[in-house]
Amino acid sequence: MSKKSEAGSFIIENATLVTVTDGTFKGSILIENGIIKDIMRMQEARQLPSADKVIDGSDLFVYPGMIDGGTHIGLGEIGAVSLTQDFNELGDFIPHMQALTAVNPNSVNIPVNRVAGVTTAMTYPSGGLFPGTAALINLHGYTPEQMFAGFKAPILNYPSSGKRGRWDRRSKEDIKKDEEKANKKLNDIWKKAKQYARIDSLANAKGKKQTAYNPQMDALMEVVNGGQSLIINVNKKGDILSAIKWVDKNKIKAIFMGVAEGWRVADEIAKSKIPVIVGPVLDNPRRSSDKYDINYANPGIMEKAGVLLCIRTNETENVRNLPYNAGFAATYGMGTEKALEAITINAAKIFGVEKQMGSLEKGKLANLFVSTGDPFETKTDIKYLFINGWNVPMESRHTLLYEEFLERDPGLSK
Amino acid sequence: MKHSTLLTFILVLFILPFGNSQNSNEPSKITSTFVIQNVHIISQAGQAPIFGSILIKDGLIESKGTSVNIPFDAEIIDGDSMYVYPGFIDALSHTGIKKEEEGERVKAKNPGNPPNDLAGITPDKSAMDLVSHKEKSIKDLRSSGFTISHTVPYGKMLPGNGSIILLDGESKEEMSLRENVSMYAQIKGARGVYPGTIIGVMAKWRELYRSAEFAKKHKSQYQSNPVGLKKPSYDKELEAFFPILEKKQKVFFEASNALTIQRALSLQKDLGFELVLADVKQGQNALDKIKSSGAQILLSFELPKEEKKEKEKDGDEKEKDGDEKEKKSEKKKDKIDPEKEALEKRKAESIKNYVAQAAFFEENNIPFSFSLVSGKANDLHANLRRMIEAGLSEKTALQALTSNPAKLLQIDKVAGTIDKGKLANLIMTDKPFFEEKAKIKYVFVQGNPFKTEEKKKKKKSEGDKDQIDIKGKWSYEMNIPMPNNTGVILIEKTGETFQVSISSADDPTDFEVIEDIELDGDNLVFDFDVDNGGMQMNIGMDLNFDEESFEGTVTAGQFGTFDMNGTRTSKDPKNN
Amino acid sequence: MKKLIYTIIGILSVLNSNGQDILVKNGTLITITDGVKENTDILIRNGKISQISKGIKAGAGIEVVDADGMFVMPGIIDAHSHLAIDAVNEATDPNTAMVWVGDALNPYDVGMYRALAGGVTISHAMHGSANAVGGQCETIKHRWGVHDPDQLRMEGAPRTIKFALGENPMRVHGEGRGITPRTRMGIEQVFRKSFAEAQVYIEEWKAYNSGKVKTPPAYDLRKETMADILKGEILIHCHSYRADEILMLMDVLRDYGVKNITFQHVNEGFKVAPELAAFGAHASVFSDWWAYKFEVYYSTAYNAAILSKNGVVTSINSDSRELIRHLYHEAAKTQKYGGLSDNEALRLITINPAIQLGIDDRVGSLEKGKEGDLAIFKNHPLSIYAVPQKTIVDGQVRFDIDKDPADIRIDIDPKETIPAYIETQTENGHSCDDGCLQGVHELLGHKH
Repeated sequence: MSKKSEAGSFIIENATLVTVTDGTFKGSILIENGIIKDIMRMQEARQLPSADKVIDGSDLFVYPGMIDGGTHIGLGEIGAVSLTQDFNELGDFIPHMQALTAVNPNSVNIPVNRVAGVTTAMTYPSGGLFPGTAALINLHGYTPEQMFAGFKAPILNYPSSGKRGRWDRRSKEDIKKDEEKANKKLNDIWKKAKQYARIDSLANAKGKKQTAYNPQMDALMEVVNGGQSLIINVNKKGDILSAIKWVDKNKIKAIFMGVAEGWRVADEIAKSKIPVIVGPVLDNPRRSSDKYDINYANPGIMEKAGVLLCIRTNETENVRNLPYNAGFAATYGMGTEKALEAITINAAKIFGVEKQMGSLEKGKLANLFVSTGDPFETKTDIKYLFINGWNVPMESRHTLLYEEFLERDPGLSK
Repeated sequence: MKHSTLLTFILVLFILPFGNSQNSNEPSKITSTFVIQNVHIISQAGQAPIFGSILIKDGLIESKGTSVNIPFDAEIIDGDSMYVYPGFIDALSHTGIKKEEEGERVKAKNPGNPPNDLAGITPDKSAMDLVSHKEKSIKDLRSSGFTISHTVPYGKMLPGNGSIILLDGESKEEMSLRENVSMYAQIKGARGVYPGTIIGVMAKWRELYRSAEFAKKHKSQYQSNPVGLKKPSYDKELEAFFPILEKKQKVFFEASNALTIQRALSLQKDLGFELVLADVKQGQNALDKIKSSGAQILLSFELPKEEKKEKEKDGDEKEKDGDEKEKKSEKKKDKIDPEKEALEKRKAESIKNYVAQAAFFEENNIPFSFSLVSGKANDLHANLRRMIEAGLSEKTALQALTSNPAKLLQIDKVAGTIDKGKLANLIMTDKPFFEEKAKIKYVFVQGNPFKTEEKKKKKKSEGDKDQIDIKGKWSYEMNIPMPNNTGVILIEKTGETFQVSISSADDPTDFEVIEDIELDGDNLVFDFDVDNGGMQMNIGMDLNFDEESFEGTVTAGQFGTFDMNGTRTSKDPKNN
Repeated sequence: MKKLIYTIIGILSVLNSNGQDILVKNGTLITITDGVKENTDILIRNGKISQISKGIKAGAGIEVVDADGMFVMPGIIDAHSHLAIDAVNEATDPNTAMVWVGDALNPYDVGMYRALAGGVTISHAMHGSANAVGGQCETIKHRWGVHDPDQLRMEGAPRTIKFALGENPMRVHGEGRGITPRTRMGIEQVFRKSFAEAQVYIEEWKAYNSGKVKTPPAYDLRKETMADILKGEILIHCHSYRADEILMLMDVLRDYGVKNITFQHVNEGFKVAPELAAFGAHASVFSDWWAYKFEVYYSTAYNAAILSKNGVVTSINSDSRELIRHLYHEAAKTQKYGGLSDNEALRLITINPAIQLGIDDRVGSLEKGKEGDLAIFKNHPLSIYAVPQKTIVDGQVRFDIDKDPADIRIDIDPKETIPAYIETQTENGHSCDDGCLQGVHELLGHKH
């Protein structure tokens, strides 16, 4: 039987605290009731109260938990086995499909990935134009409710004028036609969504309720009213520019996701003030004429232009590569500090949960990890992991198999 | 046009018998003796023209020069100081052969070892058996100056053997000059069965070739002494290789692009057959290999279109919705994108390379001919001029159309030059052939004269590129045997290009819209796909406009090409 | 315009630096087989390493690269890729031993340049895994800039062939067409039948060639290739995942006396590491791919570490146009998953894949007499902050970060101004799969 997470109070003593929002310093941190109860700098002449467990952090570093800006974690188990894939429902206009409903808290993927220090991930449905509503989850808990981290937003796959892959044999004309069709559909839907919201508010004013059952429109209502973000998956230069105009015209709160060609239009994105979930960074350039490292450099270029951004792996089983995606962004222009901000506090800001997570601050959720060094480096070990204040065991299928098979017994003999 | 409507159209065509009887009412020939008078005769490439006459008798050149006797029964054609050249020879094409549309995928029992026809291995298939004198391609090539084609079947890796045909005749028997002269090969995989890919085709080639070597040896051993030997089994595909093994035939390998050239050359290097690289478009970088292989070259005369300042169609500059005016003004403000400019330069360089290929081979003393496997015959003149501008000499260009293919196809005793005793295959042009405005007025095939149809003169004779105004609403009629053969075409100009909307009379409100069509002078060419429950078809239209009317053709997939004409009903496409 | 000129100059300088002689000075040399040497020079003459020592003087006309503060390692070798070939799968039969991806080389694939920009100088261009016996593969050198496909070949490298076990051949043939194999039992029999037929074939030709039989046997390229495997002339590289199927193939090979095998992917190799080591089989693995299909669900990223520590010659491969760009980072993950030392980790992408491809006497380490393939890094190649600076193949600089012209294409489509935007696998919502089934869907007529 695998180990259980521990609750209680914990002190990590004399560690290097990389707070992200308040600098890096030597100090101690107290975790209690699921939150960061206290942070004490080394030079402060006071004592933390006693705790159930004290961890000597003298050679260790404490970081806020990393937040992956876009994944299918919990929604997919085995890639090629379709019945284990829960992120792609039938239908083109289904914003009411809730990712959180299908998150499997017991997915083998979850422990495998969180032990890398990724405590939180946005997990989203994919497929058609409006494939459903994404949710931010902490990678710990036995029910989706326990995992839910306070953010939901519908996804829009913005009509694309690009090829879907190397095998896409559609002619330029066909691609254009498909794109135009999708655009028309999008605008029709949005017109109706606005109407629906207007009728709803009129009905509310009269103390009445809309009678017709329209879950799709219900799912978009808060977006139309400006209360909820819409995550717009958009990548190609022309599509990004068009999406900026669309967002502006419809006056909605938007988050762009993917944004592979953001580097081409970084200034325009910055001007629009639309935040960006960029990535994966470890990916190929999209055009054969593009510079070989442009995809590594993309986050840095946007960050320098003033875009608020976080990073996604777009992974299911390898969300653990988030620090390496950030690391490549750091190496190719962004710098370590900004790349770390991107996957901690900036992600929290983009998802509107910066009061709860994204940095080591008193009062925030105890989502953090303790490492032997820079988490972007593969040599670095993660020693301890806390999610919602739970001391999560550093154990997963991968570590268990390692322990069992490093020195297999019996070996060659029977 | 509703897809179902089009499908009906297609099905009707398919079911109804459709005889090509347009020639049956013409009067029969009076004489087979002709004298062409007062012409500049260019007897062969590079030769200075001689002013004189040519006497043609029974399809052969009887005499030429300044002192030609005119027999009493001769029909006299006054050449009016025109220019006469040897008729062109197309070194490889599918002329006269109907392209078979791919049918439904056949499920092979054993896809790893399918029957040869499914695998696309039919080297024994004869082009001659497939030629029909009624095919439109014969006329198309002839109007561009061709009198002889080396034609090969369509197909996959080994479609069949080639035949040499004259581009005139009332039957294929009449047209035939030589049969089974070559083996045609492509690196083209079969569908869903072995060999399905490049690597499959290459492996199968080696295996077939070596098997043929063993089979040939076995057969000749058996013929000289069968005692103790297993009877060799008859294998028509392997036997088709025998003339290749004996070097009595060459393999004509379709090798348009740089890498296919390399692949054909590597098979040749491994196996040692005599190779002709055909339809070559990117041969420059393989020069050394071509030289050392001894392979002969057929260049494609098809060239990529010249760079035009067109809108980027990639969708990056597109507008999606909303206020057009505002966007247009915004667009003007856009600065020139240096990246795009660099990309355009590179594309232009690439186009230049294609255009300069012929000159490159000339410079390197590698003789070549032209093949017409790809490209449209009526682009020949314009494309040759582009090649000449890029450095190709007129002499070499003419050789590539006449004496070189004659030699390669071993018909130089009967064709390729204007000489006594040879076939009277000639073309007559109003100006020296390579001049910009030169037009072919007559083509003689085996002494049979064809006057090329003159297109109506354009209003503006200066500068051919001036476009005529085709905007408006037009009614059309197609010359096909079905009730709903009329309809409406709306033509709108959008920037530099046109948008065409077509409807059919049975549902005048349902339009098929085709965008981004370029008008070339008075010629509008476009095509679109229709799909109905899995039945796919490409409909192509080629229309020539005059002031208030147009004439042209419509091609409906494999069902053929039909005449089509129309008149303008309004200058405003939106007028109802 | 400026940019264009820069582009042209860049291309010319990258492609036409014809010097097969080059001196790399003052670098930290990671030799792989002879430790790390600081502030040391390495001289390449005629494409071969001729001297490694301090203070080498450059002769006249020899290009000098200053590697002060840089790390110089042998060119990275990828034992599993599908770059620079125009056909990957001839998925028409469970045994397609007769085909050879070397027939479909494409020197214009920009993926090759992008691999060079990640320090990779050699890759093993492989047939796909649709068939139990796939096609023959080709070991290529990344001589970006050539037009002649033959110039990509690493002349003299041993012949190799792709085998495949498990779900892929089962899916393509059994599930897809109702042809054996539909199970792992069926796959075993494909091998046994093919080898048995090849043995008969060898005998038939022996009889014919010695004159005992007069009629020549039917020439069969598939059997020719299988016979060459039996003769030990071709190295097997077998796509595999599960422990049981790995054991099965070793049994089959033992029965037919075949010794040379590298198991590819081999996600459950760690479960049978002692057996692999005893057989002398090699393993070429992903750093961390798993769960993309059922047969890799019970696997671990510690695979490479367990295999290495059990004495199996192990490499990290890419099988991907993306991963091949940062194999140094993939190798570095073995330090996270299993704590390999720097040298152990770097062996996985240098000398070990060289052993697996039978070219370790020529490349894979910095040694006098070996071929002049180098990757020069700013920062240690196993650090996340590593940036490849120059990649040298046979003494010729083929990638130089300072002269990278961005648009590196050689063969430009005359019909397309701006190259099409192509979504990547990760972007269009497809879950990751190994690249091994490339082309199969088209062949089976599936619509995406």
